[in-house]
Amino acid sequence: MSTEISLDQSQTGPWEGRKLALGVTYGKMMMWFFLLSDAFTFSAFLTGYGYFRFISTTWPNPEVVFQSVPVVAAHGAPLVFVGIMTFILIASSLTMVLAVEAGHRHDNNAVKKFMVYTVVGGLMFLSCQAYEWNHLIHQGLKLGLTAGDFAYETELAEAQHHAHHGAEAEEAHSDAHHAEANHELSAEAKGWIAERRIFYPVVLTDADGKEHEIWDANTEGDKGFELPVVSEPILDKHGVAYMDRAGNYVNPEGYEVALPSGETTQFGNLFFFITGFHGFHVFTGVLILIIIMINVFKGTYIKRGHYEMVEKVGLYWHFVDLVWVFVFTLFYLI
Amino acid sequence: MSGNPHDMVNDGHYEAEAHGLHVPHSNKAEIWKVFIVLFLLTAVEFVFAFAMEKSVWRTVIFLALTVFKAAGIVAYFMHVKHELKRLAYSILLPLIFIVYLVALIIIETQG
Repeated sequence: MSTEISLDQSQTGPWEGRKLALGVTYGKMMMWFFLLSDAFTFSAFLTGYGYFRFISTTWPNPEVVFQSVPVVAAHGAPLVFVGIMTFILIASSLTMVLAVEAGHRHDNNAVKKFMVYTVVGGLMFLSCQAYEWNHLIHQGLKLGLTAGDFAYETELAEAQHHAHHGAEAEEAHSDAHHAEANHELSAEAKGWIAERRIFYPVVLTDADGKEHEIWDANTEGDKGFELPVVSEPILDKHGVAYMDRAGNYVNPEGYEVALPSGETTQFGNLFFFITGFHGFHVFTGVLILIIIMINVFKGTYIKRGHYEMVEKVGLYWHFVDLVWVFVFTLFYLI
Repeated sequence: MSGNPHDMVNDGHYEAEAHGLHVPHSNKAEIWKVFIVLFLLTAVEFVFAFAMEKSVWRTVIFLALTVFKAAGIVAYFMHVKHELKRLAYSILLPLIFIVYLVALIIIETQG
């Protein structure tokens, strides 16, 4: 009794800390505020992804990019594998909340069981993600600079290389009509490159010498810039098929200068960064779950008299699931 | 109570209970119901992904289902629905900034 009184007294000072904040323990409140800040971080990343995707005239089609299931199908099974991953994560969220519920009933054995299930679910998800990354990297999806990142000289050289490369390819077809094509960049195109921003319409010539106005999406959307529509998906060198906004497959080789593989690289950057950051959360989540699970097995929370640590790690785990719900929709479905 | 003073400091949750304050409790039937709803919503997303052509409306449907699933996870799995109002609002109200951010990004892309 005397200890309790002295404990209360020691907590009256402004810097001594109090037992409750907003009606819950400080630990739980700060877990919530951490998750709130993490929600802002993920929002920034995902809206950044949305920005790049929205201003891009073409984008890799997720049903083509994500169409392989390990062992079962190398291709031709769009979204199946990610469906399995999503199910694993939702199921592990279920076992997590059941562990919290068992903790409220002080049923230590049930908490043990559900913590083990949750850890297994987390490890399964991580394994799936490792497979998926490995597969996509082997397919050629990678991190890299996109046109906007290059310095002036590099950008000019790049554009001229593409124009030249295009000319060579056409000559190889020994098509007299194409051989005559003018692949020089127009003065306006050079002006655009000098500006290093695509804020003005650019006139480029294609193989037939026809002029195309290319607008940056920041001004007029993709007005005046259309890649040739094709009926069958055409894969570029990264194994990615492109679609326009209307959902038609387009030929990415339509004209090289207009479409370096910038969108694919940008897709790779955003995909690996955001799913990587989420995967890092899953990874740390599994580590924390294992620590709490060991405590449950040691009976730490029986001694302590409550299972709030399980509840707190549960909040983190559900947050990881919550972020995946958004990543799943934004990267795989849309 | 435990004799360890450290535990007593960390015991606010159950102390709150003892003082008649609201403590979120979960029940199994509700948990399973929410899980089944989340599972079905994901299944519906797959149905739309395969049965419907790519369009603005499909994207709107996906986003609506996503927000609905997210709300389910936050409200039931993370217990916010059964949480004290002051904690719930201090978590939920700042999310308005995310709406603001999304609005800004949409405006930016319109140029």
